[in-house]
Amino acid sequence: MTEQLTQRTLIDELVAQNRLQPEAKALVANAFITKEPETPAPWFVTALIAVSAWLSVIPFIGFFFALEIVKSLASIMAVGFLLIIGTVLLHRFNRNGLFLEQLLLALNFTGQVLFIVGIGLDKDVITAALAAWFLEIVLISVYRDNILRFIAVLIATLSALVLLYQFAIPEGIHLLIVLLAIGASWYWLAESRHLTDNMMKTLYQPLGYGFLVALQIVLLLSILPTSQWVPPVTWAYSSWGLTVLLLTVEYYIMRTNNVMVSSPRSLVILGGTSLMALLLYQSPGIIASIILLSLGFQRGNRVLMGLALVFLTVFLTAFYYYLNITLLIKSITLISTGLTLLILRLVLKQVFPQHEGVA
Amino acid sequence: MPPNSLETPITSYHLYWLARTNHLTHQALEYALRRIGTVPDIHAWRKFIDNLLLLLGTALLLVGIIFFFAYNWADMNHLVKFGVLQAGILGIALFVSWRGLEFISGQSGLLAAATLVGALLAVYGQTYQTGADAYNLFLSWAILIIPWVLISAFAPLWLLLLVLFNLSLILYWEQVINPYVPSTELFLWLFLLNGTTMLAWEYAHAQGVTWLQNHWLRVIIFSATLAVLIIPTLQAIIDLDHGRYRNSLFAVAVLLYVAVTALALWYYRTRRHDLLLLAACLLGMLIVITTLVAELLPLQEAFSWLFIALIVIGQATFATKWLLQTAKTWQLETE
Repeated sequence: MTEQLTQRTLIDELVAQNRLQPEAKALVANAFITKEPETPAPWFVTALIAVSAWLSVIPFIGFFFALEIVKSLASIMAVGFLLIIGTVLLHRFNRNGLFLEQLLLALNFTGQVLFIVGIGLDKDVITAALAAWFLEIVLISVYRDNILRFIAVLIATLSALVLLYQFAIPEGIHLLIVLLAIGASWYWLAESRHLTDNMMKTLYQPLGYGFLVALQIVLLLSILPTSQWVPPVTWAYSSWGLTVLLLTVEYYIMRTNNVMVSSPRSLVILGGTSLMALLLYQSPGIIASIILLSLGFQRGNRVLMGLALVFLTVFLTAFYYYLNITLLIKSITLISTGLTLLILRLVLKQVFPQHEGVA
Repeated sequence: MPPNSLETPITSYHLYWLARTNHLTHQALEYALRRIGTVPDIHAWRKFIDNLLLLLGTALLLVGIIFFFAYNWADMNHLVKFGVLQAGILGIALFVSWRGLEFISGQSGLLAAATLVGALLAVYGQTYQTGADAYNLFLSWAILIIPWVLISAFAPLWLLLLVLFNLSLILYWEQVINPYVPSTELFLWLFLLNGTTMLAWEYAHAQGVTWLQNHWLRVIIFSATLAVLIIPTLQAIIDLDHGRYRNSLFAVAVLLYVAVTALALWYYRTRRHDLLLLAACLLGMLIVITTLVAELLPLQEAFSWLFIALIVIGQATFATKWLLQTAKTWQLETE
């Protein structure tokens, strides 16, 4: 159970449990005393930096146009490319200048906009999307900045969507959705492993958030009416893929809590999930939001849980709003779903009382 | 850090930091996170699922009932309509008095009953075609639920009351005072309403009212207070550039905006530590200063654009540095 542990108690306990070598004890204790853990920037400070970087892209583009540096399509691409290369190089050598860091981020975004738009105007949309996709992958690996990496995932996902649209394979979206969900689950469930891995420790957070937000943004298409830009798609395929993933996440969580998969409790949870997925086969967004909520709770991450609740509200509202049934059937569906959930709660409370140990 | 820092409670930040600096293996990190409750155990999961099922189940059930009555609404006579709504209010009120306001289910019930009062007033207006303006509905609704709000000790119910008063004021302005132009005077009245609420909130919080420890309500009220001053300030800046500076109340709004921002920066920096509200103040300043600079500079000049971009980045840099420094100072003060 949760209790207020001191740093010393926990270190002693880790040594006693053979999770920390006795000789490492002094090292850890010394690290606590001599160095101060960095206070991570709260989400709203990071958001402030990201918003200001994007805000300054407009005046920067205005500046380049007013200077008449960018006159032709070739010059738009060239300036964009030079800005990207220049900012990547300067960022590698920038050590402690926050102003320069934010300036480089804004100039990098400006370069990306000019480069991708330039290619789109000079060649075609497919070439621009492909270029954007490869550009973002390169930037993720060479530009060590959480905001840039997070936004790079979103731009790469958008590029993938454009490619699917341009190549007229709208059903390919299911593969994209499932891959994003698998990626996000892997990033968050293996958070401890990533934190101790030299390559992943700087990558997993921006990519983890990026994959989850990109997943939910792509799924917003499932609640939009079909139009010229939103081709008809059989969303049930995504729902099935996401359900398999949700069951896998549940299995993983149960296993880490020493709950036997064959126990009655596990069967109720897995069966309830499957039943819910059958009812929601047209709404992959709800299933993805539940995956997000589970990941957020499993990692004690309130930002993830907040995002999950926002998206869950959006997808639930859209689900009932767009259901092609009469108001009467909608009301009966809602009442029966609500009652089912409340009865399920009672069943869980009665069949598996709070004091019961693990199965 | 003080020499006895090993005796201070351990947090997830400490553990993440140890893992990043290769002092912990991933197995040790996962075990430690579970020990301090960041990674939930089976009991925490059970409680989480229980709450989630209660929340979702109740919400879907209530919406379903509303849809059911909406479907049959046209076929119901007045007596049934009033009967259904009044029975709903009475039933929920009885449930609340049985359950008690110390439970979340009781408080949520009171919120539902207060919402149904609005529906009842709407049906009353629709049935008897009273011809009253919409602000009357919202104002009556707000006044009628005041006793429940006072006894509820429930932040969402207080928020409902504040929203109703804001709506009443805006609609009164539109329908009675000035039907076409959202004037500075309206924003000043809205500031008076929300600002007073904010002051009352801070006073009650300082008196140790426990249910007001909820952070999000303060964020909403403060954002509303700041927003209703930022809008006329931006209008004043734009009018200044176009040479049509005709509203004398603009000066009052601008002065109030400057005063409130300065006061909030001092108060939330020194008296009550709140980084999010400080960030909201700084974001407001970024918007106002950037608009002022953009209005004053000749935009046909290339360097004006460059200057605006640099001003945005400069302000964001200053804001970030200051916020992080402030957080660090607070952390040191508490150790």
